[in-house]
Amino acid sequence: MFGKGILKGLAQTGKQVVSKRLTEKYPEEKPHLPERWRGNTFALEKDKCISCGLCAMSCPNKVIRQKFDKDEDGKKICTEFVMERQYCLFCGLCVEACPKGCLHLTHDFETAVYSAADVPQDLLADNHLDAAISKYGEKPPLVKPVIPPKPAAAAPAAAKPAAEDAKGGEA
Amino acid sequence: MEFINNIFVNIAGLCRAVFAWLVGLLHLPDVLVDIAMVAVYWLAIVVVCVLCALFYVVWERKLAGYIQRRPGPNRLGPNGWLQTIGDAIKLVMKEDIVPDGADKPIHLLAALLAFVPPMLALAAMPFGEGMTALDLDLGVVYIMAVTTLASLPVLCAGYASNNKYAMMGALRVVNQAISYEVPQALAILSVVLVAGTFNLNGIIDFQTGHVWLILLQPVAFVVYLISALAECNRAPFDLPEGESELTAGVFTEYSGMRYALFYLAEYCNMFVAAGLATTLFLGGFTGPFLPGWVWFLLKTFVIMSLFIWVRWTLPRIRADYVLRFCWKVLVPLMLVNLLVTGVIVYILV
Amino acid sequence: MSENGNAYSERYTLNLGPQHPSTHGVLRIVADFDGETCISADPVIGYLHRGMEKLLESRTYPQGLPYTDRLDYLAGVNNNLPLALAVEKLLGVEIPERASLLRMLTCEIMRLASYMVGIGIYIMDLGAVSGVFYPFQQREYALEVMSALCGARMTQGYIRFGGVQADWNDEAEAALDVLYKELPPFIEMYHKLIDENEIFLRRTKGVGVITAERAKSYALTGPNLRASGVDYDLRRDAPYCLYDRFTIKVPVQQAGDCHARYAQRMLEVEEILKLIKAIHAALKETEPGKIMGAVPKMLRPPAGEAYAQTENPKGIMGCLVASDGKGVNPLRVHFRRPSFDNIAIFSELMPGHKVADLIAIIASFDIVLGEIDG
Repeated sequence: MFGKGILKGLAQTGKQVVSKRLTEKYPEEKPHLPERWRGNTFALEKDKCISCGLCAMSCPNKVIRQKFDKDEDGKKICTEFVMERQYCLFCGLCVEACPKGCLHLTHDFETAVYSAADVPQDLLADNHLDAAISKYGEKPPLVKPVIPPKPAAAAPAAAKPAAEDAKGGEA
Repeated sequence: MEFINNIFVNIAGLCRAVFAWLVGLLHLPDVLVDIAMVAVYWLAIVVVCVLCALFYVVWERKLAGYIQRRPGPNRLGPNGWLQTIGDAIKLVMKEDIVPDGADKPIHLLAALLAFVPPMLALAAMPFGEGMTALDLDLGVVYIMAVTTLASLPVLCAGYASNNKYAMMGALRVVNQAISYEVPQALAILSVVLVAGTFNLNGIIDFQTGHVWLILLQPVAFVVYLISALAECNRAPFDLPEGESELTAGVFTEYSGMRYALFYLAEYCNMFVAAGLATTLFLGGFTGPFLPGWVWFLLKTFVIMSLFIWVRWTLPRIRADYVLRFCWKVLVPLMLVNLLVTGVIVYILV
Repeated sequence: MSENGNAYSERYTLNLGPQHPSTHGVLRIVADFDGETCISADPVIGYLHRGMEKLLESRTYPQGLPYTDRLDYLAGVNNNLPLALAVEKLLGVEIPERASLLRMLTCEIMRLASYMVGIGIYIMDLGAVSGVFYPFQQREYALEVMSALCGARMTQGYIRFGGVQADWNDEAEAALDVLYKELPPFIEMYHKLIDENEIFLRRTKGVGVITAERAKSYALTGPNLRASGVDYDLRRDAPYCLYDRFTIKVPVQQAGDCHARYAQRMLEVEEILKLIKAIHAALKETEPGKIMGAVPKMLRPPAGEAYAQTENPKGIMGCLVASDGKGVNPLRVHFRRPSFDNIAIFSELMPGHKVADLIAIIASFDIVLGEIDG
């Protein structure tokens, strides 16, 4: 009979009216975030950072602005560490690249700000460790990486020690 | 009980008494009382129009939400019921854009005219016992005539917008409205044939005396509902608007309050169609226990919910099938229905 | 009389898009109409062009990977895969079994998510707006799995050269269980809602018919090809990853019209669910942890060219990578983007149809503009 399919469809939508609503009422109910969930801000454990610059090198969009200096012991220190989040893809490559595992993504997602100047995140001024830290990029036990015979042309200074550190960190 | 049933009739009576007293006091001609009462009726109809539009816009969005397993608007007012008012305020504050090359007077006027046909139709609608502003002997014909006008402002809007989408929508609205007028009229005619009167209150009286006409004319009821959907340009017949095909169809170039007027007028048209269905098929305002006007509102609510339910379930029909369905299915069906009804009525009466 | 036999009417050009609710983003179709009948249609693309290939060429290999997610943004992982496979071919690395299984599992989950969008938007474009919400809910369950596994819902960037980024975890397992539970009732419900609907059948049957011959000559791929009766699926016919281990049933429709393309996707959804379950079972048998092959930190593939192709939700996605053997950037990257090839047939398919059919045809192809414009 013509119209049978239409009635069947109406019955289906009618059934949905009485079934459970699935909406998460967001501002009242906070969403459940998986532990690896990538948020929109970064957190840095400053004391663990070895100023290797691998995070900045791994970034596809040059989000990370860093400046380095030597302290009185001749140790390399980071004097500027700014995440220019307006360019960020949130791909997490920087977090993965960190040999010490001291750079983290957080679970922040309510990151609206009034001014564009507030978007970049100065991680030396505010390391943001009070936020819920995402477990994204926590290293699984890797196979020993094969170090190429020559360090990369793009990063002659930083690549080698970092690779060694990576080995040490994973052990 | 009796008091609540007659509350609006009593208010009207009170108004009339006050006017009569004023006219007598000022030694004015008596005809002014009638003129003043027309103004009162008109005001009442405007209020009904606006209230039902405000209510049904929210209800549609809520019911659509429930169908889609979400709560619908739930922010403004208790449980979101004031949402339309918020939207209206927002739309009033928006810029009223008239596109370059548009036929400006018609473009501006169309939105205002959209409210006229439903208001004219509601004038003859029996909301309750003694609650018909214009109790016409040819009430059915009158309502059919004025609801046809509802496509005219839409045509104006599409024609005047200087936009191809709008023009296509306007052409669609014309051929759709003209086509579906026929089965709708035939469906109503079947009812009139059974009831033996064109007077809406007379049809209700007939149903009180016998049974609801939906039981005697089920096919006519279904065809009436389908044609009403098409007349109101509601999904699955929302081709003039056809969001996924014609962006917003005839309303593409409308913004701000003028768009809102069209939007609200659509609900008023639906309310008229639902009210007429209630009156013709569901016994109108009659019913036990509750006051008459409450019954009327309840029954229209059911029909409106049905319209909304259909809209949020079915895909849109293609323009050529809309016409084919009308002329090849509905019209022959209704002619047969009319013939059978006529023969039975002739034999029995 | 005009060309299509109607009484004379004026021809006019209608510009569908790039701002139009049902062009799936910013596809623009310049179509000539006679009344409601289309006389000629010409898809115009490029409104979402980001220079994806050039972006990849200006970055190192690993840096390029997250960008590929933005091609077919409805199925991010699936776009990582051809690039990863091509580069791995150049490098000659071996992928651990678990990593391969995880790649397949995530690809199938995202294929499911993409089909859900395709079906839902299709029904919505035909005018049944509620029809979009139910598949989107299922897609949500699929995205929850990805979110638990690698932290992002849409642009996951999950695949790495040599393996995958993160190992399977309990949260992803739980999320996948939800998907197992919710999907079969949904499929049943959706069949009841749509399949017999007379309006839907009228709108789609016999509309936009592509014969197997035309489909092949226009290089259609994916569900659109299989809906035309060509039994071809890379996962079965030229397996990559570990697809050769699984028996993959490929549904085929013969009609080649818009309805067949809908039915094809609905049938494939069921097959995908079976495949997900099979891969999931195989994954449980592998040892956790081994998800990366032996890949050097700084990727510098030897000089040469490699081409890899995968069966993506929209069709066959191919990736050509050329390396000069010296730099850390690829010399040339090129993607064969299935949606781009699929829409070429629009100019032939659309004339003779009504406005509403044009929308049905666009929707039935399930195109993604990120992929078309690259």
